Amino acid sequence: MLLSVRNLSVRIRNLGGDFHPVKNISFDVNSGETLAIIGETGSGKTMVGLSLIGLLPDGAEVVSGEVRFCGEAISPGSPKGLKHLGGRHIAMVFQNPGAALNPVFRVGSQITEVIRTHLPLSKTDARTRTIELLAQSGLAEPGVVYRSYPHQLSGGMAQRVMIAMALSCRPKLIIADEPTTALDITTQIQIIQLLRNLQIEHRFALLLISHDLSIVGRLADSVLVMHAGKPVEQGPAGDILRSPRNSYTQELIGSILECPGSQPRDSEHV
Amino acid sequence: MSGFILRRLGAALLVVWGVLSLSFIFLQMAPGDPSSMYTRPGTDQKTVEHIRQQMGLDLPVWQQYLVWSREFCTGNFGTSFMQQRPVSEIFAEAIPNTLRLTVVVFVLQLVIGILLGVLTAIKRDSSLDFILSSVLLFLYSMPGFWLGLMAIMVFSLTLGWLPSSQMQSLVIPDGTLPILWDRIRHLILPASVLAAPLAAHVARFVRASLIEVLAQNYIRTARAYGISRWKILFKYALKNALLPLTALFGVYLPFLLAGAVITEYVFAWPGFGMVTVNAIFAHDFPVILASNFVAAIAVVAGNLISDLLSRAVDPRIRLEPGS
Repeated sequence: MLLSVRNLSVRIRNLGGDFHPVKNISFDVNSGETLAIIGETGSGKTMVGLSLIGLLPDGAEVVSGEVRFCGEAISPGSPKGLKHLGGRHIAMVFQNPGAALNPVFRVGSQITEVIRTHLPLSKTDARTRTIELLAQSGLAEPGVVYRSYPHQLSGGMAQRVMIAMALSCRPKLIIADEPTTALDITTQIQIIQLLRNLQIEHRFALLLISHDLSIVGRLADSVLVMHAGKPVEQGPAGDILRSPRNSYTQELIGSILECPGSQPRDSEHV
Repeated sequence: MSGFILRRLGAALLVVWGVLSLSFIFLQMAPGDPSSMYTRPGTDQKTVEHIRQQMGLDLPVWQQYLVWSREFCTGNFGTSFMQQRPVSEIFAEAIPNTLRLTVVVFVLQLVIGILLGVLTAIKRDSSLDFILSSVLLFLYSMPGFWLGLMAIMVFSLTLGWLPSSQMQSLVIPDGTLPILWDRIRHLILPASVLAAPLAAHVARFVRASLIEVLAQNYIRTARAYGISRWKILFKYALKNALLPLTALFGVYLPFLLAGAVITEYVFAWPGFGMVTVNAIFAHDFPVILASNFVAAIAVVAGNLISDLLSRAVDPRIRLEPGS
């Protein structure tokens, strides 16, 4: 078991009273496997991801729950436990790749910075590794991209750069929060394909946070459905997407089934 | 790049010409004949006419303008009515003194302003932030001459710590170090008074800018990837937060010069500001016009520098499309 989360609850303190965006969520992620957390906007799925790496926004805090990563207990929500994990063992891919990269530094240097924070590599070695990673992430001219600023890249290219950054220290787990939402449809498919291929090659576990069930169908081994901060249904991806038992899951799936290309993973030919 | 600079220089020339022509017209419209400043009341009409002729005031205004323009373009700024010596000579003495003051103030303004801005941004909404921000707002709001007079009253007259005027003591001490120390002591009050409101402005600006930047997604990315707090603050965030500051350099340079005019007068600092204020009181047309020329150059140069600087530090700004 790579990641095990038990009874995680997050509270936001408000003037009008406390609000719990995450209530008693439990799940497990095995090495090399993909768990998708799905639910509508506002269901608390992003809060789960942020609490794991200690990046909850101001005013939000983890009030209960136990998180074990590689068998070791980490205190969720606090940046303390994150220090050795963030970037090194757990990496994050964000929703809006254009805004997730610092606009005034070359993207290559942002990746080498991450590498040199966690790995004992020289500047030249870190640079070589970064260019390799950019190439692995499907960027045709990694040397050119290395020297580019974020505004010179398209959304798809920027997300590939983020994926290269996520891979940079060989993490055991990548949390991808709506990794394709800000991209156009053809780019979405390419990014999904890339994540799948990289996962096969690098054997990282993926915690996919999404409301897009066509992506979930292509990537996930198991699924956790969230609604209003609470777990609704959870189990193998094929079972849940094909025969959901809960009425909310049925509604969620019903709302997209007309879309082509949303078959579950095992029925798809690669 | 060079095309951009050339275009800007052409526009700058036009602005400077406009400023000077307007100054010329306003001076002619101002009440009082300059010659009356330099003749005793009751002097006979013939002598007055002779003096007016010497000053070049006997010609019709448009002819005066043409003569003055021609001389100005050849670099001849004329002769001061009051001091009876070339304006260029007066400025050659005064401007280095002003530069000594303004360069120190500019550095102080940026260093103190940025440090206080960062401090109040990371401690935002704390009591420290509240106290500092109030003090900064006060300093920013108070007029320079009032700050100057208060500083003289407290630090020179009451406490007797620092000299109240001039650039150095009348009796110059022996040795390099004592001379340097004497000059620094004379610099402290005027530099602080001139720097205070400017530093306060920089601090308020940096605070707002940094708070905005720290909430950006790319800062969250850096935190998610375990980059250290200090590196995030001083490298990733501050570079973004200071970018808009470069656009303000165009405002700061003339502001600095305008502030120097008041501050120099209060502290009897023998620089550009003193020369300008005295020339205005004495209807010394050639000096006033030359002062306006320097001020116009400062505004134009400040804007050009800040444009070039913004483009140099912000990769998103390009001088020409497609380059």
